[in-house]
Amino acid sequence: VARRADRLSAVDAGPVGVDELVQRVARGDSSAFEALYDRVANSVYGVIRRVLRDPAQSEEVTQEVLVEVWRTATRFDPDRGSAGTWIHTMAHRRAIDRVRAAQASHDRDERVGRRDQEPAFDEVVERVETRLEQEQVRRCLDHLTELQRESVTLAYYGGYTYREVAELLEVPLGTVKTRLRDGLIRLRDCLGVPS
Amino acid sequence: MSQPDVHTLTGAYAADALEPDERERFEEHLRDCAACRREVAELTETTARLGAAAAAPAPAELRARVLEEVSRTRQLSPLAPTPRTRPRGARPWYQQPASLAAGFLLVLSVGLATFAVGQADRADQAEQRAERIAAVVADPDRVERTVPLTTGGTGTVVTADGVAVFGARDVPMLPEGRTYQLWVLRDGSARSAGTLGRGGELDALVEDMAPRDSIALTVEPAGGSTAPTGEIVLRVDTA
Repeated sequence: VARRADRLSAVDAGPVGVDELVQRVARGDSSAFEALYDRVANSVYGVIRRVLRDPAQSEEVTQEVLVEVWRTATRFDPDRGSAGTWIHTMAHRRAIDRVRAAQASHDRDERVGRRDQEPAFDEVVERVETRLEQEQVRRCLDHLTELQRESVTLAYYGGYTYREVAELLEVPLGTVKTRLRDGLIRLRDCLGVPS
Repeated sequence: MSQPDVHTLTGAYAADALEPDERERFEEHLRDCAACRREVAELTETTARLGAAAAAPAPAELRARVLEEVSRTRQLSPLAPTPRTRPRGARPWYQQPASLAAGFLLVLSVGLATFAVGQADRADQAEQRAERIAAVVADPDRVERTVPLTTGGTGTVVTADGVAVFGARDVPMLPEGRTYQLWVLRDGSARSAGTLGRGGELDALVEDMAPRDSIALTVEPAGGSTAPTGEIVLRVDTA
């Protein structure tokens, strides 16, 4: 089960897609929620862990997000995007909110101190090598320019604001803004995200 | 922010790489920009793929914990609130605005950004917040103070039952790179109650207020400070 847990794309070979599971969850079907958990828990945990690094905090936020999926599935609107995107966006957003909140209080120094240990692109690659989806993401990240790739990975996986990314890469703010956008556009095209 | 500037933020928004106040402003812009919404939807679908690629084995014991919490968690009503056009339902407190200032705060509370890719998640948070604000503003034992800002505009603080609602309007815009930040002052120390943006209408909900706390507003570098560094433009004692 865990083998397939991170596959969220439309080509998912499982008998029931994430979208349909979320629809069933919206009707209060708790066995559908269990199936949904098995399908998305690893990728939800993975993206949160990638941003937060701390296992205990990541576990806590993962639980929060998955319970929130259950609670708000009733309001999920498929017209606005796929269920997998909805869940991952919520997961990433919650992790980022946690980072920003910590930054606003006492953890700022600790986080600045951590900068040196940010995941290199290679580490990201290492993680993503084994699975098909990950393979494709890696290939597509490879097609970006170095600055696009660094901007996207530092912002998304590193959890930095684009201001922080600009500071880390020592490039103007406007450049990071643009690289984030054209980098993601190139990724979109490469991954074949439907428009 | 000029229009072309705003449009290029779609990438940073989809990667959750905006500061909270920028995120809010961009979401406001999204409401009026269909092209941006389309692009954000596509780029968010893209970043979600990056997320899926980061999968790591979740701790085994998490499953039981999540299922247990789910078993005692009620699901939301499928009817999303529509705060922009109509306050939810015809609650008695909407028909009897407690006062002029309180009425203004209510309007603030229901005018919050409701567009978000997080959908129900964010809409629900906005709804809960609106309800909290409404409860404070309608509390018969509330304490209400309205004070002008030294930079222009007026601020109102309504406190009830350990919760304060702050609202300000006609606040002059700060230059890019600066933000208003709200503080709770207690016994000579200051606790941040969040950054509120560069001007216009500002609002905040502050929990854990003690009887002799004061509320202060300062001007800080964008992103906020850990302790007040700028001049105090407003100070309100809540007792």
